[in-house]
Amino acid sequence: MTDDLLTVTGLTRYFPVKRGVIFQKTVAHVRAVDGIDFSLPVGKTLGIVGESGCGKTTTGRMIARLDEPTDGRIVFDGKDITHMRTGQMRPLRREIGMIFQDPYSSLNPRHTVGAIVGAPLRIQHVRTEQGIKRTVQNLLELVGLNPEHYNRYPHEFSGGQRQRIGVARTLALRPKLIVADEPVSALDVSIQAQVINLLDDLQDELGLSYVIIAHDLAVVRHISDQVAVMYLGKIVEFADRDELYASPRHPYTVALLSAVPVPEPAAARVATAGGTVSARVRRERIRLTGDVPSPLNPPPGCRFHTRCWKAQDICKTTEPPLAELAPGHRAACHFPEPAR
Amino acid sequence: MTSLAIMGLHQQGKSTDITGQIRLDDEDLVSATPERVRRLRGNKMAMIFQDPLTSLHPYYTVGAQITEAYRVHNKVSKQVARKRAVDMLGRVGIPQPAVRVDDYPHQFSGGMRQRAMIAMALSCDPGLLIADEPTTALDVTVQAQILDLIVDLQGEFGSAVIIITHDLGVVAEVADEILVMYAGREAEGGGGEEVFGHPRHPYTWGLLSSMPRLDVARVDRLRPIPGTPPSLINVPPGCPFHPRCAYVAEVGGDRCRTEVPRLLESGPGHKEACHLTLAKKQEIWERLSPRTAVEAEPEVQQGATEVEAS
Repeated sequence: MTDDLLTVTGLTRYFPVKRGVIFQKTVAHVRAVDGIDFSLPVGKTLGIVGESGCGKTTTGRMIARLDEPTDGRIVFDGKDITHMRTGQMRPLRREIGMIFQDPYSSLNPRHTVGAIVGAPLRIQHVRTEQGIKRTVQNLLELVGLNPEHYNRYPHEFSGGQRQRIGVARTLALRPKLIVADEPVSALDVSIQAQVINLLDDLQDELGLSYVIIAHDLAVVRHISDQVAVMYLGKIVEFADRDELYASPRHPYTVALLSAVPVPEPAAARVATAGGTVSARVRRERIRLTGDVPSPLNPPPGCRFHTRCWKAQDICKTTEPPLAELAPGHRAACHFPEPAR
Repeated sequence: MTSLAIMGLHQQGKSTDITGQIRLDDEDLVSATPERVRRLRGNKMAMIFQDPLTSLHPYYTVGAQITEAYRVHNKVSKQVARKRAVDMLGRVGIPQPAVRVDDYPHQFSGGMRQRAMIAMALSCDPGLLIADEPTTALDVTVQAQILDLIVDLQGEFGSAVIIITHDLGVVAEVADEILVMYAGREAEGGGGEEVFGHPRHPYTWGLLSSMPRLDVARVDRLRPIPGTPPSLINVPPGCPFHPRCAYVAEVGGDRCRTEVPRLLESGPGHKEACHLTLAKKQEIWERLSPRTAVEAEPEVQQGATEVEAS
């Protein structure tokens, strides 16, 4: 407990759906996030994966307190920040940074890079030894940009460089925790690798902790220490990275992993394996039918039962708890896959 | 009835037409009159776009949009066209097609919209189907469904398919032939197994080793391609990839900087535009390949490739 930087318990966010113009009344709730628990040790990375609409972005926004939780508790660095008021929250803003998905819309096009990266320092009235300009230039250098770009505007940069500007801005206040929402999904493959390596290096250098939200399972495996798989507002599986990818226990995780196309044609795979068809070479793809159900009206029982090939009667009525199947490996399923 | 994949990064000329010759069924499309091309478009060749939400008209029902395309090319009554639309929607896997045909695009989910786009494209039985990033906007489980659908329908309809994408996994999954583009030019081309198994262009190497992969053991560090893609207003002289290429020194002299490499055939059906000698290329890929690195001695070999890259 003591070395956990972030502890989240029962975190919930319902978005009300309203009807009417003057006398609005709430007719339903979108259950974006529905009671999730996890904790993040100092200096580690938690990856949150899931399909669109599973609540992963809302979770990230709540941790950064950009969104007000409906229920639950967020404890950051020993302080309960769940319902802190703006004024109380302000000093803590230095310690939690956020990196956004779209490097095109998250930078003000009318501000120079210097103004953008220096803004957190000015807002927080931070006095640095060398003055803001020097600090910003050092930050630009830290993320691999030319410090002489101080007076340029965002449109002069490519997507990858803009994402670096976003990272520099987040780092300006030396946060302890960075919540990165799809930090590389808007970038090209070759540039993706540059930004991932940058995040890696910064973690080693500055001892940062990350919550990384992504839909790309390969990216998440690369950068995370622990992985949470979300489905319709719930965590369905939570484990250490190697454990989760080697031996997924929840059928949804199994299906997600098998849906990722492998960058090697089937025939070549057999050839490079020396003619022997190993288990990894001939992988069975599990076809999930249909789409993710609406979080407005999630299925009763296990939320995955409508698409699950193992579903039985109990799955339709009773919600499976997130049970610990092996040390540090939790999955919410009545019929988990056997450990591999 | 084969599929060709064109891959490359943004703005690499993947989705723009230029001069030259484009032959479809022995007919030149570049010199054809606009009317003639219009007759062919949708009929003999059809296209699926990246974003199904913006490429469907929000004010018309899905059925109306499919029948419109069908009736432009076939002299049939509205009833017949509508039957065709329902039939097509059923074949691309939309449940209750007779009901959903009257839905508007916003009532469809992302995957269903892309299915509707495919139904529309295939309604006239085109000989050529061009799919521009057909699954980029979709979730991975839905992406798998759509890719399976495209492959199944290809078998059923016998169309040739061109898939334009930046996702190497998608390419490997569906393509028989692969064309890798860089800065508006062909960098490498060949059969799927050839290009993935024995890539012979530094850009292809870069693409293959810069992405994190689920099918091989995790590496500690990715090896990105340095720099950024060039501006197409100012394409670098010589080999367009040379400013980002790690092997310019291996070629020696100024060749990479001054001489545009020609696209030469280096093996059966395998061509690439690079000045390196074939032996050099094979030797370098032997070193880089993530698969050989992992399959031999995992720990030691990974460390070794790490050093080579830096």
